[in-house]
Amino acid sequence: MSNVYWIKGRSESVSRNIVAKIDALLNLEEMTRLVVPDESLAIKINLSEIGYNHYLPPIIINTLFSKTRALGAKTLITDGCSLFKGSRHDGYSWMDAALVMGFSSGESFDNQLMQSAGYTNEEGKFWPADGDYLAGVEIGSLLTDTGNLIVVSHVTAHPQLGIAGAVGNLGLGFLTASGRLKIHSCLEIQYDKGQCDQCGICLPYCPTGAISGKPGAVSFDQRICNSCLGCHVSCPNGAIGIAPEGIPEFQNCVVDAAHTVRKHLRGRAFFINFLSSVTPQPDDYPFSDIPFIPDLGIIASEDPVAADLATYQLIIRAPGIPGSIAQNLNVLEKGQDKIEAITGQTPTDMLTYAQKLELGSNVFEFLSAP
Amino acid sequence: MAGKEASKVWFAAAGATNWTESTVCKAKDLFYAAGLDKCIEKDDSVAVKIHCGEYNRTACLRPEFVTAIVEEVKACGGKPFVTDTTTLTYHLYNNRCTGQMEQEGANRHGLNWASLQAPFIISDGFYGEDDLRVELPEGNILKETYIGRGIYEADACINLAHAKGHPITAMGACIKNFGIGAQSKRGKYQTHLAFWGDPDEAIGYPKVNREACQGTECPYAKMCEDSCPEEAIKVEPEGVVLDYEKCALCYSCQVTCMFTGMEGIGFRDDYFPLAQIAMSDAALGCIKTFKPGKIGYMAYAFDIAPECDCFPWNGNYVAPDVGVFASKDPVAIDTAVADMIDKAPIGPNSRAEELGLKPGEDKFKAVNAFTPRIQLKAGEKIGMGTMNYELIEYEPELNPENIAKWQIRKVPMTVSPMREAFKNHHLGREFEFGRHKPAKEWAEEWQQFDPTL
Repeated sequence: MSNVYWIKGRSESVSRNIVAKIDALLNLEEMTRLVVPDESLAIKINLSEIGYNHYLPPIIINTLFSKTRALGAKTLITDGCSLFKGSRHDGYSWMDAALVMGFSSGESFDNQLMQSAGYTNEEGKFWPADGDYLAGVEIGSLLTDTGNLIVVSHVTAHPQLGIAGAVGNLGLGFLTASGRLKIHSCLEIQYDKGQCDQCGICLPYCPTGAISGKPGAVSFDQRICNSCLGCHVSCPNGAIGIAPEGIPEFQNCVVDAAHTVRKHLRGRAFFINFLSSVTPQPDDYPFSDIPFIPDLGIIASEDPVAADLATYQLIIRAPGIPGSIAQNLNVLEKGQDKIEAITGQTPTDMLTYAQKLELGSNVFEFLSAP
Repeated sequence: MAGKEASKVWFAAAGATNWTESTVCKAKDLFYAAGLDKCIEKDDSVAVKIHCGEYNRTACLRPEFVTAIVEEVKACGGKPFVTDTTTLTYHLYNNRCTGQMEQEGANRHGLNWASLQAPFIISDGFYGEDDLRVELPEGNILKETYIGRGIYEADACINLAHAKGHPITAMGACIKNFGIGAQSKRGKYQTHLAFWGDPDEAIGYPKVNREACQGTECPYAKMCEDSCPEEAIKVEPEGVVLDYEKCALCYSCQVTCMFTGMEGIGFRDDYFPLAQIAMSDAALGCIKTFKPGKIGYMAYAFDIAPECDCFPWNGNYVAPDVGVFASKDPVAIDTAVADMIDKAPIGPNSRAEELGLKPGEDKFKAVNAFTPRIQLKAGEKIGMGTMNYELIEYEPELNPENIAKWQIRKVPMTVSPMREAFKNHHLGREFEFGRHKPAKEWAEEWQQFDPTL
């Protein structure tokens, strides 16, 4: 049985503000075991795409950085670049995007804001996988070889995984570009010419030239598509879909990758899911709709599967926000599965498979952080 | 490219007496005079390759020297990133072996976004594993090397060197900035002629000096054992025992021994000149990752310490500041740097003065055992450039346009905004100034305060 801590979203006084909540996290016994003087500590974040404006505010990451530093750990902040050609596609624009988001490497993080798979998003090694789907996958060296890890996930709905949480962060966010492409190869882009109004918004997002032409004359070539999903996330008309048959395999590949990552981490890991600003899109979308549930606080655990299951249950139990997508889909009531309504997916199957691989447990105890 | 024709090297001497002669302004002028702006096209990813300097060393490139060039790369439409690579372990307190360590040190030196206005990136990644292989069929020694991928993938490069000495390669300037500095960890093992393949072929192996090693009596015996990342060293009463099966040749034990002033572990006598030759091969490896005409070379011969920026301290400078250089030819610029440093006066209280050197003598040969001209000759032989150079001495003309050219504000700040500000509010006119006595009673009294009168 795993321990899952829940720090509720509400704050009635200064003693329960975000800084105090981060103190409460750092006081957990699990955290004291991995925030160790003179040992490296990587904090894996979700650096969001420019235009996604519901990302976790920098104060959360800055406070985690400065407080773990004050405890003596050699902390660094990290994330990888994106596959599609948005605002985080290469090392230079990634740094620029971080700055725009309020993460200044020099001023906030003592120069310790780094790309987890290098400036080129390819620094990593191939690690063999044990699961049923992947032979192996490339993982960013920084993440496998640094000491301990805090995985900070901004929880949102996720169109292929149901929720973006700890398992998705491990199974996609930790990989190099090559690693991610392996997983993305399950997803086949379906271009619907009838829906396409030829606006050309998707054109700059494509890294391979599969989407080509100009506004008014957009064409798609399946043969050179690498399934990065840049066109899919940027299309305002729903003209670029994903073949649904590939999604279960995609989910299981993510679990295989997450399991491979977990197995090869050198130090301890701790997972913190922030259930605030829970939008229908994950952070790598270039836009964000308003949140569909209220701020539910923080879920934290050493067990990524338990953390995500607890997260999923809390989202179902929460009321929907009027005026959000939850109202459009008639899932405002507590107990209605908003995730399934929004994404057409649930994380249940992949978390069951994750449990089978012993990535974590679906039996857990809810505790409140002291 | 190595022909009989001389390569042009632009040079601006150190020293200044007005705005236009600031080192930063002259460096910017040379950048354009030498045509380095032509290396950069719009939206090029431009690697500004520097040596970020070891922790606790102060004789490294100052951030302003680097930012000055970053600004011009941006002005040319390039996307600059300032970069260095991780090192081998080198010694037991080296602080550039991983990306995290190197960023810590770079930040201490002021090399961060806040001062550079560009990211400071470790080109071979967090553990120095992010690299690509380059074949060197023309090499004098090396058949291949491995270049940090950040540099490899960049479209253009400004090799921005700090000219100084080096205990192994005699001098470190542009060739070393590529030949060691652009190599990934794997590339550095190559360049250091390490155990790579057949151990008998390893020229750079740690050579134990039986007579000099004090064994367990050595006060640094524990440091000696700790220095090895492969756990290949055991210090026995009769001396250090090295397990050559485990040794990967990272210099750690040799440098640790040397830094403590001991002589128990050293190098083969011919290692240093061979290391220079291998370094030139590796520098060509870096050059080959760029299209022709996409690399500009600059060298600041300032703070000319006898040893490299990889030392965690610096000795007194072997020569006073010489100046700044720019060229398109790495061999020519380094030859000019070596010649101009040799020509310079002897630095007071330096190793060069201790050795009784005269201006004009080969300073680095005297201080570091071998002449740096070995790497230049080796570079010439593999077609990297020519030692035959034409030095074009640059002196900025003092005129209003040149004074205004490199100012942060093009409009004099007195004209705007201070005129407007003073119109609204002026401290000098709004308060009375009180003095103890009328001026004629105290104006002559300053002489009482001058103890030299």
